[in-house]
Amino acid sequence: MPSKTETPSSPTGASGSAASGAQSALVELVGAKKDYPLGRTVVSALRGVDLVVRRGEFVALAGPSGSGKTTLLNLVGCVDVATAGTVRVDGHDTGRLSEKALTQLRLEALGFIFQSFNLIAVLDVFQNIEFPLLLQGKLGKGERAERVRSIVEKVGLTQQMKQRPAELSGGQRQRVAIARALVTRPRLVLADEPTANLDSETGERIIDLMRELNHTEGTTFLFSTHDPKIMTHADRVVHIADGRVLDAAAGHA
Amino acid sequence: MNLTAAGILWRIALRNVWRNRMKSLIVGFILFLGTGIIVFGNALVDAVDDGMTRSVTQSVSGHLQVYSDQAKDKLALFGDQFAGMPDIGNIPDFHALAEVARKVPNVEAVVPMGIDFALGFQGNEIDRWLARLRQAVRDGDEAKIAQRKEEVRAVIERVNAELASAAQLVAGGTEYASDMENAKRAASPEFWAAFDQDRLGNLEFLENRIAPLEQTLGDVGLMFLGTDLAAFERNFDRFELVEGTRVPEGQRGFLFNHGFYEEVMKHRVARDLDRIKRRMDERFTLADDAELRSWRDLMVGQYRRVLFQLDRQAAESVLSGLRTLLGRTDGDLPTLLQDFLKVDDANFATRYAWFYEHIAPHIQLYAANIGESIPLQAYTKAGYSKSVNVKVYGTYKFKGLEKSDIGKTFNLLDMVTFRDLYGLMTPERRAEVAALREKAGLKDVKREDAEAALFGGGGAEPLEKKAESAGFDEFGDAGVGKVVRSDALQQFDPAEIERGVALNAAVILTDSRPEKIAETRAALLAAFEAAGMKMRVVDWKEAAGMLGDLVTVARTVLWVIVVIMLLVALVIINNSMVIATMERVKEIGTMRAVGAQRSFIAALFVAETTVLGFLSGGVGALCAAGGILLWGKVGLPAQNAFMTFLFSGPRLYPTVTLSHLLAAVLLILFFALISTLYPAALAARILPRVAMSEEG
Repeated sequence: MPSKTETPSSPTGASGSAASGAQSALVELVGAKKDYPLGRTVVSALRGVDLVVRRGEFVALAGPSGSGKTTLLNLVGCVDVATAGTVRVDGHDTGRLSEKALTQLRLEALGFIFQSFNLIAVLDVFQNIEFPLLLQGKLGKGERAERVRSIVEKVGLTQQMKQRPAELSGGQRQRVAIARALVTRPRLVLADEPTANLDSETGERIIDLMRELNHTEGTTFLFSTHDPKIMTHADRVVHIADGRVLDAAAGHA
Repeated sequence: MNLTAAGILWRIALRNVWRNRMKSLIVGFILFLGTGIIVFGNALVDAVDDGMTRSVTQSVSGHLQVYSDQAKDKLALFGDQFAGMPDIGNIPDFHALAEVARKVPNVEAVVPMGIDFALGFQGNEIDRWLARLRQAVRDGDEAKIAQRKEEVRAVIERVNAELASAAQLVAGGTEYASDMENAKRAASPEFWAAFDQDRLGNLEFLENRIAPLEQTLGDVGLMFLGTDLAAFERNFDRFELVEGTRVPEGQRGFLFNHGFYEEVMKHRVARDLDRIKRRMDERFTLADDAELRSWRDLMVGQYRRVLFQLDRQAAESVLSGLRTLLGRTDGDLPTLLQDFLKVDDANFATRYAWFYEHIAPHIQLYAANIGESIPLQAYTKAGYSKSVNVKVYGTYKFKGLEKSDIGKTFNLLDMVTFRDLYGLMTPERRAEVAALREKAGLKDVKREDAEAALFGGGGAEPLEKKAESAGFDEFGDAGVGKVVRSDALQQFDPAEIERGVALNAAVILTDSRPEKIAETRAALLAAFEAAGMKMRVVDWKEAAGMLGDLVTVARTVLWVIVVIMLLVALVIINNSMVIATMERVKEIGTMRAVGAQRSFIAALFVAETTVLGFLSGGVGALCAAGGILLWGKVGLPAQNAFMTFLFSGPRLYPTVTLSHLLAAVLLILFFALISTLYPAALAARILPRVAMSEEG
């Protein structure tokens, strides 16, 4: 199946990353397989996936439960490595990286948005968003605060800065998660069913926000969803079933 | 991990401790308790250690003890009481040793010592009367002789009467036959009419046949510490003179331990009265306390000790006094004395006072009086018995240890007399003594000349000689305070103390911290080695024998308890942390996904335990410190004599130092961290993908 096709998206400014051979391809999967042991048998979650995500794309990953969406996101998100095939993220072959280097890659190049938000309960909004910056340890206190404040403003939570996750609504929490994912200015943000735990109206707004940030910040997004309404916001939709990409040719909405 | 990450790590840790309050409370409480026990236990053991250190070092041992490397036994200052005196060899030339030791830094003083055991002959009441008669006979004072004879007769009549009533009780007993015969003879007017014909012979009869009839014969064993008395007083802060005077420098002399003097040397009935009074002062009553009643009954049985000490005049005065006191018109002295001693709660105070006012002046209240000489008999190293008369100058005590048995152990004796008793003299010293004896011999002659001139005692001398050859020794004379031996031998050149033999030497240090003691010990060993002296140097704990191990044992027990407790704590902390880890899998996975390294997660757990450990350990330590401070004000009362010794006084005042607290908190923290290792490792292994949705 041809991997590099369609959607020539504008490689908007941002990330002048290691100009890799795969022309502005931020993510590139070639024959990626993932098997999980399950008792005595082996479950094949991914059965050879080829996929390219270019810089600046806003890509939806669609498929029924158990189709392999999350596994695919895990591989791209460097929280897991493929059993076979290659996964290239921001020019790095993840199969060849150490645990530590993978973690570093996640910290520097990726952002995560989770289905159940996964905020750190004991930290307030500001601190949750600041957390990855603190791990990076690159910015001074003032710069950090500035960075956090501007992203908080973009997600519209200026009023809630001092509140703890438990005091926020679902939509607000996901905004915090989005802010946390974007605060390091990652090249790629992965979102696993970001709207699944939200009502449809809030879900729409969250996707709108992501889309907006995709435009303004030039951040590449790859998110999974099974909500057709959400898919319509994507540049393209990659359909997965039984661990395989059905057609990579889903066009623009 | 960078600095900013460390900042957020602590913040998360702190907040997690608060968030998981229940878990924190459980773990925290264990840590709190652990710290408290460590602080408390250590403060207590340290206080006892300190108390005992002071008790031992300031009373007898000094900080270090030196003794010969040739010793067969280990030095045990407080004795292997069941195994006799340990053989610790001797230090042939104390001076040479002291010279070497005094040059070692931190050595403040070196005091020669020797501990030995002697029998002090107490005699009995009849013996005392006979001794006075013998003295009068020896002095040739006819008026005195007549008076003393009267007294002896009166006592013997009383003994005879007592014996008769005893014989009635054991009707038909034949063992008494000869005794009865002798007593009857001694009490008969014929015996006394003929007494003057063979005074010494008859005295011998009375001493050998009659005196033993009184069942109060007894030698008293006493431990004594021979030392340089002046140096001893200077260097052992606990020493305090109670009665009498110091032994003048250059004089032989003996100081009773005041407690020993009061409890062993005092008249038995007076002692019993004192003992009852002490217990009654502690609010026990005769009506309720069986022990008090048994003491009282024992005391009543001792009435003869009073009876036989009263001369005719005193007996009359006591009898009439007792009649008035007890409101009786009949009854003889023995009956009234027994009735008098049958005290009850209501009359005890009156009778106690009456005893000391009306009876005590007529009896010999102490077996040896201050200012008099006592005979000491000991077995020398060579195995033969040796006796020495030595003047009792006074009594002393170890401050704060008055009530402790160990504080009452030693009587003090000058070093020179000690050497005589122990039978150890250098050849050099022997020569000196011989020379002294010669000089003294001249003096003796002079004195006897004077006596002969005064009393014209030409006739007395052969009799006296005859008596001595018949086996009399001078013990009987001791009680009457005559210096039997030559006065010249009672004196010596103070430098003598240094020049002779000692068994062991106490070393007093300027800086007595444990590490300094150890340091000085090593320095002393090296110095002796360099001087070619083969010596053992032990610290006071070792020198105190079993006693010295006590604190070590207590400390070991404490630590065993602490370790067991900590192990239990370890399991509990570990379990609760593992559970906490399981509950936080998603959060930890998220942190990992977002970019936190494994080390960050592990550090987070360690930080949480550290926060919890510091908080609960700190609070625990502070609470314990508060408790100890409070306790230190009130003091823990010593329940018995031994505790008085351990506490170095009637109460223990534990103190707490910053190092106690710090050590306890750090230890608790260390244990808490160890218990976190496994949960932390577990948490660090949590995969970042668990943060993603549960979907495969």
